[in-house]
Amino acid sequence: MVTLMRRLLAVLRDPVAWILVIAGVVELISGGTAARGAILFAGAALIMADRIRGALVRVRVNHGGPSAGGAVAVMTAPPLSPEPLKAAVESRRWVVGGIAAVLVAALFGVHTLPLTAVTGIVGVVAVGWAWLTHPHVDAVERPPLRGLWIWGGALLVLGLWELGALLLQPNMAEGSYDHPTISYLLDPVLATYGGRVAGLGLWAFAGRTLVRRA
Amino acid sequence: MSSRLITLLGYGVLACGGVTLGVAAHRGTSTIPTFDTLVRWALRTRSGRIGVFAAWAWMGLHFLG
Repeated sequence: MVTLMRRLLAVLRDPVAWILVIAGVVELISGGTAARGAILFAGAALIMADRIRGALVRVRVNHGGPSAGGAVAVMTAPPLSPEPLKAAVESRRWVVGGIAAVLVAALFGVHTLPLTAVTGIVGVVAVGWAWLTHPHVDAVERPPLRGLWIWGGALLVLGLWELGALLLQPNMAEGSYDHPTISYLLDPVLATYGGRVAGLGLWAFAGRTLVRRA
Repeated sequence: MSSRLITLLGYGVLACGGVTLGVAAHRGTSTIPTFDTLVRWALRTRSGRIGVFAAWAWMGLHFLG
């Protein structure tokens, strides 16, 4: 029991979960919609669920416990293979379907219900897929620590610069001409159909690339 | 120099820095990993996968949704 508790408490040490929680809080206090905050909190919750799943599996293996039922059985079920979706996104049918979906979805303005629904549903499915499938089995060598620090530092500076612009706005929900955030700068571009096609296309392409790499 | 120009210059410098890092990473002898290598490395664990996909989903919702 003590071992299980210690493993469950280890959940709190996962930096990725904390990054998602902090980002979710910033999103909500900056006037973001509930959906935007929810996807970040859901990610953090799934990471914690995954740690709990790992702890439960280890306890079952170590103690040879009886077969669990209900939620525990779902939690400890072996992860699915990522290969079917990886193969699917490579197919011409998915590429053509994706392009058609982008062209149709871009007919709707940003921050409207249809686009929120499209990006929200696709995002939730992708995060759920990442949780349900096992990571790729081929070993990935850790990049040099110096390189990790350099990339991490660059992303951190970008985040802080964006946060500075956000805090210098008249209020959290109102953009500032003098201190523009990236989304404030992109809004005029995304107000046009071509801009939305480009934005949605890039987002979809990035998602496809992530699935192929995962 | 106006506040707007300073803010935009900051984004410009960061964008140039990102491009420079990317170019440096593609040199064979560099200790800086490419962004692709970084993403692959992050995706090797389940918490990394969930974090990367949640960040990607958030970007879609933040800028478009």
